[in-house]
Amino acid sequence: MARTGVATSLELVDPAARPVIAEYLDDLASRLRCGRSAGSAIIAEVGDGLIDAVAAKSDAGMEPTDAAHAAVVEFGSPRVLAHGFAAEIAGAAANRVGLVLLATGPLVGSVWVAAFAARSGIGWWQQLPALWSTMPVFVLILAVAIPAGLLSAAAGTRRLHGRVRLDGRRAAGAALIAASSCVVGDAVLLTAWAVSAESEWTALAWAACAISLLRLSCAAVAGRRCAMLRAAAG
Amino acid sequence: MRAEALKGHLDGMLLAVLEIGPAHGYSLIEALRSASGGAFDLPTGTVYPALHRLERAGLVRGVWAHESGRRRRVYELTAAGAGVLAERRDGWERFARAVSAVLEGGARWPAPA
Repeated sequence: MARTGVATSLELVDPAARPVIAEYLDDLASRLRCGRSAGSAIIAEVGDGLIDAVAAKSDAGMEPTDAAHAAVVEFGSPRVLAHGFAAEIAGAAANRVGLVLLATGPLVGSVWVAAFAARSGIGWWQQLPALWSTMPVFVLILAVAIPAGLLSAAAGTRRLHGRVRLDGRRAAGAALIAASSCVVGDAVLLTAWAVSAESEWTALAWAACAISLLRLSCAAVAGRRCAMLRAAAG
Repeated sequence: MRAEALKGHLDGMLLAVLEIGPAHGYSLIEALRSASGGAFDLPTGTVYPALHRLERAGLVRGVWAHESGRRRRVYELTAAGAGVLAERRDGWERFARAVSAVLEGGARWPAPA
């Protein structure tokens, strides 16, 4: 086990070689910008490969310590390896953020349209164009948020693989734009409702505000994480 | 051959190696070295992010397996991966034929005026 606490099979390596491998894995673990579970899986997998590399070099006649040093040189620096994973981690995170934002968009939108329609006493199908005419900025927000969300949700998927050059960094950028647009969109809706003299605080209005506040908070956190991952993958 | 020269081709080569059968990360890089006669000597670590990328794209499937007391991540080609590999092979053959035609034909062309 490396100092990171990740279970590896280092006991299979000669004791003299273990500190070199453990130090490499600890260095790599400290540079990964992902969740504990994903990080543990990466360290376990790379550690397994290092064990193979040490075994191959020992079989070729190297001393255990030399074999361990040669193995870590063969794998490349932890900084470069972490950078390789950063692009992949950023792409995966962007994919999740895009999917969640696209899935919650219609829900949040429907609740708000229903709340505004109940306030004005008109049907929701009439409320939608009325909202767009009173808040034209919202059309602009949707025009940015939806393509950015679609792009980040599709990043790295089978359909786009090899066809669209959307690497992890760009995917994280798209997700950051989508998340930021959602933050602005939710803030616009909340403000429009709060400042309007006609607003009545019905259960539907409270539900719309609660859902928007929740998504605004989640989108802000997701956007911040995408910005960090984008920087790490740069 | 430097890693930069292989940029853009690593995914296809990994899919080609996995076409032979399931394998784990280190055996994949060894197979690449062996199949290229040692010409493709990439830092071994580069193969792991590439495998994760291919897995997320649904082109390979990775599973944790227990072998001789070791927990190992083993990858296999999916049907979608086989399809993408066929496309890559076709694209590469057309590209290689076109480049060869230009490189080999140059000697027969008249000198530019």
